[in-house]
Amino acid sequence: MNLSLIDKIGTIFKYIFSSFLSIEMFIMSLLLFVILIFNLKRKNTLVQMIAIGIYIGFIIGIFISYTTYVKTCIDSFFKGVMNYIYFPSTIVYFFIILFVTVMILITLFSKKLTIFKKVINYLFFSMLYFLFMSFIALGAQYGIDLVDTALLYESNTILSIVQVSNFLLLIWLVYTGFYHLFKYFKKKYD
Amino acid sequence: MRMLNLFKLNNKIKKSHVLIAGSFFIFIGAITLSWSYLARIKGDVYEEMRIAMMDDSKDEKVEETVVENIPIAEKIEKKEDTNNYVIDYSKYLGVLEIPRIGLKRGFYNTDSKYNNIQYNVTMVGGSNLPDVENGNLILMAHSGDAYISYFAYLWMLGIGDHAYITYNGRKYDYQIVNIYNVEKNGIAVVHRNKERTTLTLITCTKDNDFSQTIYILELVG
Repeated sequence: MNLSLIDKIGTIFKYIFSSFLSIEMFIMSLLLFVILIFNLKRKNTLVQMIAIGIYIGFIIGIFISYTTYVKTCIDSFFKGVMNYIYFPSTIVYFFIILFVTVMILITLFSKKLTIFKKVINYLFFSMLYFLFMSFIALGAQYGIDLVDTALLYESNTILSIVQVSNFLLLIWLVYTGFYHLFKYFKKKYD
Repeated sequence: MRMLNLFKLNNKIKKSHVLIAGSFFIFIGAITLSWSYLARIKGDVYEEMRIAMMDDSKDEKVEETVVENIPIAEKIEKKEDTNNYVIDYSKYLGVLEIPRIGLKRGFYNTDSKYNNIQYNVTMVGGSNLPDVENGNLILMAHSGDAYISYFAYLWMLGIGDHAYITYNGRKYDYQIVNIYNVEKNGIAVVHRNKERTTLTLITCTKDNDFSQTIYILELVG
């Protein structure tokens, strides 16, 4: 497990030459790289399209060859996301609040944001801060180890606080996403 | 005039408005289409968390204390049968049956890798088998609504209800003599009459995140 960088690179090279499939994948990646490098000067659109096609082909190829595994990976990915939404670890929750703090500072000093957007931001951030403070206060009151997720979420109150908090953040993210998309469309098409 | 108004109205609908409305509908559509998938994933996440929560009680240390004035179960007539039963679940060490809640589940010996609360009704280390006189067999399982929540309906039981353990070709009849809650803090104190052969069932308390319920049963047949 405790390998040096050279050992790790050596292990990867061993893997590359261990089977026909890995050699094929390596050669294809190399070819793609060479094509893209040569195309830097020529700037041929067709080559760019071919490169994109190869990338998509790679992805489709992997999906077809390892359908079950890919599905499992997608499931795991969404499970991970859901876990962050419904049962985030305290560290993730702290990072969320840190992110919110940064966004508050940006909102405070931004001259580009509209008044309405600022009001929306302040509303969401105030609610998130209130919920975060309640989370800490309840954790301290119950004497719960904030690192132990399973123990932490045995309390319905703490669970509700965290889930509502994440739901609010999600709504804010969706709203902000659409807000910036609208600004982009307005700038480009109006 | 009406045409002019309509023209003015049409002019107000800008391309960016159409695009943002389209994007919004695509977003809503994507969410709607993947709703059942996301709901399934959400269910899995909740299930895993429930199991993780219930695992907290896995490494319980069980202490025995003698408490006076333990309620003694009424004597009941011994059954006519010869108590010779063939266990269907041959892979198990024994089988726990509680007809009142429709439970029939095997359990393994403490040294088995399958004696794990994640998969089965679990026999707690230090337990005695039913044939040990004045011994105490302690079984634990999850409650709640996970698929491994074998003790989900124990809360429906009351004093006097029966549970059966089939072990080594014999069926042991136990009767509930005491039910009490303890704080979920890693230690479960078992109050039982040490002069009786007992069965102890432990699971989480219904609708209470911070306590566990202990069912004391005494051998009656």
